[in-house]
Amino acid sequence: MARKRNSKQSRQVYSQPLPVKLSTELYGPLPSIFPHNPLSWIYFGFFYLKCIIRSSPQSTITPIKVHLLVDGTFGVYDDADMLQLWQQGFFGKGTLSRSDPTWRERTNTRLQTQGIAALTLEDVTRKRRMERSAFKLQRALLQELEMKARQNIITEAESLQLEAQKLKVAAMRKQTPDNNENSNNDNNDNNAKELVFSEYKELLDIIDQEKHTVVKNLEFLQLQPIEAFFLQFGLEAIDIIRDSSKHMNVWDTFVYCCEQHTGGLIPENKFILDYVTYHHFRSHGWCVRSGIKFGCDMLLYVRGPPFSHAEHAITVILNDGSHNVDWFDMGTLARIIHGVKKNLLLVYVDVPLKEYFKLVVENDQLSDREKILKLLMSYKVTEVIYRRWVPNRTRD
Amino acid sequence: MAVDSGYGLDEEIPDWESMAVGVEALRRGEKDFEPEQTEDQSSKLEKARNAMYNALKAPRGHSIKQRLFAVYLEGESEQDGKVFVPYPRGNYFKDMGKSKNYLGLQGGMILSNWETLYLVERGSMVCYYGNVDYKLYLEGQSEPLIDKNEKKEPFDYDSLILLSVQHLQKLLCSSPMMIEKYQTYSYLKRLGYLILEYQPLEKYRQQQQKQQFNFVQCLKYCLFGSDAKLLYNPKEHYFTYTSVFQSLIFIRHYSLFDSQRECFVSSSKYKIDFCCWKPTPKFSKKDPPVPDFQISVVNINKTPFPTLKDIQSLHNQINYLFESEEVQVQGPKKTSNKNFISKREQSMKGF
Repeated sequence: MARKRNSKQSRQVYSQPLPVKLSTELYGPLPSIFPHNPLSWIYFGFFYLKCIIRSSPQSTITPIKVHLLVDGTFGVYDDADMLQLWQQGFFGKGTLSRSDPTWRERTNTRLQTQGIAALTLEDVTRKRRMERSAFKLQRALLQELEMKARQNIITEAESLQLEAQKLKVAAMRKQTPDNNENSNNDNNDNNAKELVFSEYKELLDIIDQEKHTVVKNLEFLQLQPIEAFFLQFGLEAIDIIRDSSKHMNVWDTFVYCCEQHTGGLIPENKFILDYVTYHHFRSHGWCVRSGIKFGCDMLLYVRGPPFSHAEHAITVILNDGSHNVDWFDMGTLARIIHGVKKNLLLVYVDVPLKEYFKLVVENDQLSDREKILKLLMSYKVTEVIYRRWVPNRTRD
Repeated sequence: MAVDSGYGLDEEIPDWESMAVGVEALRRGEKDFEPEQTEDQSSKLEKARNAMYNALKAPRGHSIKQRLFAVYLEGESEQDGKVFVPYPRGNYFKDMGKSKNYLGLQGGMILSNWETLYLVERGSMVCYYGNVDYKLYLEGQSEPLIDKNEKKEPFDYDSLILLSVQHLQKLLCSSPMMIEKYQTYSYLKRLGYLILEYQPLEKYRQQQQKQQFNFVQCLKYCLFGSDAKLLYNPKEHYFTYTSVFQSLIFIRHYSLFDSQRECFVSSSKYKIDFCCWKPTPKFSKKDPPVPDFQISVVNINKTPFPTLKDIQSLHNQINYLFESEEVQVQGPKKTSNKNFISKREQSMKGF
C-alpha cells in the first residue's frame, strides 16, 4: 500500500534496493574522471587500487540468519535483520502485519495510549458484536412487517407495530456509527477498571507494565522459498539454519524447496519455474512480491510498496506445448487484474529436457553454485501481456 | 443505477423504457431483493417487459426509392454461394464489399457472408435467390426486354424469390466458425468500427532479422572462464547497485523479434480473421491504414487457450511493422522485452 509518508524520508529509508553493501559506502564515492584532466585519471586509479587491495565490505558482513522451521516456513527472528530485509529490497512479510513487520511498534503505541485495555479489545469487540446482532434482529422484524404490508395481509395491530418498529430501527442506526469512534476512548477506561487481571495473566508475561512496551516480539518476518533462495544463491546475504542446528548450503536449500512440490527434482517443478521468473525480474531491477492478494503468482513494483502500487501481475505458465491453461481461469484472473488497474503478464517458461537436467544434477565436477547456475541457465522466459479488450471503450 | 467507476459500461443493457414513449418505466436497479409473490412487483415486471417488446416490435424498413437489395448466387457446393449487390447505394459500402463487374452488369459488389447477414438483419437490405435466368442476365446472354423506347430494361427482380432471414442464415452460415465470425462482426459493426477481412499484406512481411550480435554477453564469456563467475560475488567490489543487478542477469529471455527469426509453421488453429479500425471519416477500402485491431475469432468450447507457439504464430501474421529491435516503451520500465500483443480478441460470450 502506498503510504502517505514524506517522500524525502522514504527515499532515505529505502535507499538501498538490495541488502548488499557497496564498496562506495565504506570507502566513499568513486571520484569522477575528467577526460581532459590527467590528474583526475591518477586520482581515480589510486582510489580504485586502494579499494581493490582491501576486502569488499559485503564479504566482511555476517549473513542474516534465517530459520527453516519444521512446517516449512523460512523465518527471520532478529528485529534488526527483519527491518534490514524489509527496507533493502522489500523481502518477506511480517506474520502479524500487513506487509512490513511493525507489530511491535503498533502494539507499543497502543499500549502507551490506551493502557492495558489495548490488549483486551476483545471485550469491546464482543460488546459491539452483541449490539449489532440485536440491531439485526429488530431490522429483520421490520422487514417482515414491511413485506406483509406490501402483500396486503397485514392486520391492524401489526401495522401499528410496523410504525413503532421503523422508529426503533432508525434510532438504532444512528447509534452504531458512533460506537466505533467514541467508545474506544471512553469505554476502554471503563473496561480497564472492570477488568479482572487474573484472566489476562498470559498477556502480562509479554508486557512490561511500567514502560508500557512489549517485551518479546511475537512477530517474525516470513520469507517465501523463492525469496529465501534468491537471497542465498543470488546475493549470498543469508544463512539458512534448519531446526536450529543444521546449516543448509545452496544445494540443500534447492533440493528442499523442490521437494515441497509434486515431482521433486524434475525440470517442470513449480519452485524452479517460479524461481526463474523471480530471479529474472529481480535482476532487471523490479521489486517482486507475492501475488496471492490478487490470485496471481507475483506482483511487480517499480521501486517498492511504499512508493506506488504494483504495475504488473504475473502468472507463470509452463511452456511445454501442452494446453495447460483453462479459458475460464484466465478470464477470471484477467477480470480481477483489470479491476485493480494492473497489467496481466503471462510468463511462459521453457524447460530443459529431462536428460539434460539429470546430467547436470548428477555432475560431481561442478560446485553447488555452478550446478544450480548451469541448471537455471537452461531455462528461458518469455513475457506476454494479456489485456481484456472492451470495444465499447476504445472507439475514440 | 450508478455505473461503478465506469467498469460497468461494457455490460450496459439498452434502456427500453426510453425508447418506447409513454410507458411508466421501471428503471434498472429498482428491483426488490427477492421475488415476492406480490401484485405490485409482478405488475411492475410485466410493464417493463412490455416496454421492451414494444420497442422491439417497431417495424424496420426502407423506402422503395432507396432500396438496397442483393441476389444470392449459387456456387458448386453449398459453401460456395456468393451474394451479389447489383446497385450498391448508401454509406454501408465504405468498408463493405468488393467490386465485381459482370458482362451484363457493371458496378456491382460482392459481399461476404457476414456483411450480408448484418445488412439484412438490420433491415437495410433484402436478399433474393438468384435463378438460372439471372445468371444468364449477368453473363449478358439473356434477351433484353424490349419496350417502347427500345432501351435495355434491367432484370425483373420481382421474379426472384425473396429470402427470409432464417433461410439466408441457413445458406450462409453452413461453413465452420461462420456463426462465431458473424457474431463478432455484427457486434463490432454495431459499435461503429470499420471492419475488413484480414489479408496478409506484403509490405508488412518483416525481413528475416539477422541474429543480433550480443556484445556484452560475448565479452562476459571472454573475460570470465567458468560460468559461475558470471553471478554476483560478494568478494568482488561493486560501486553501484546497477552493477550488482547486472551481475545477476543470466536468465535467457525472448526478444520481440525471436519469433520471426525462427520460422513458425502456421499449423496452429489460430488465424487472424478481421482487421478493425476505429471509426474515422476518411477511410479507403483499397488502401487502408495500419489496423487498430487485428482480430482472431475463436470458439472456446472447441479451441483451447493458445500456447506460446500459437501466440507467436499470430504475432507473425499481424500486419504491423516493428521499427527497431528494442521497442520504446513509455515509463520507467527496466525490462525491455515485453511482447505486446497487437490487440487480438478472442470472441466469446461473456468475456
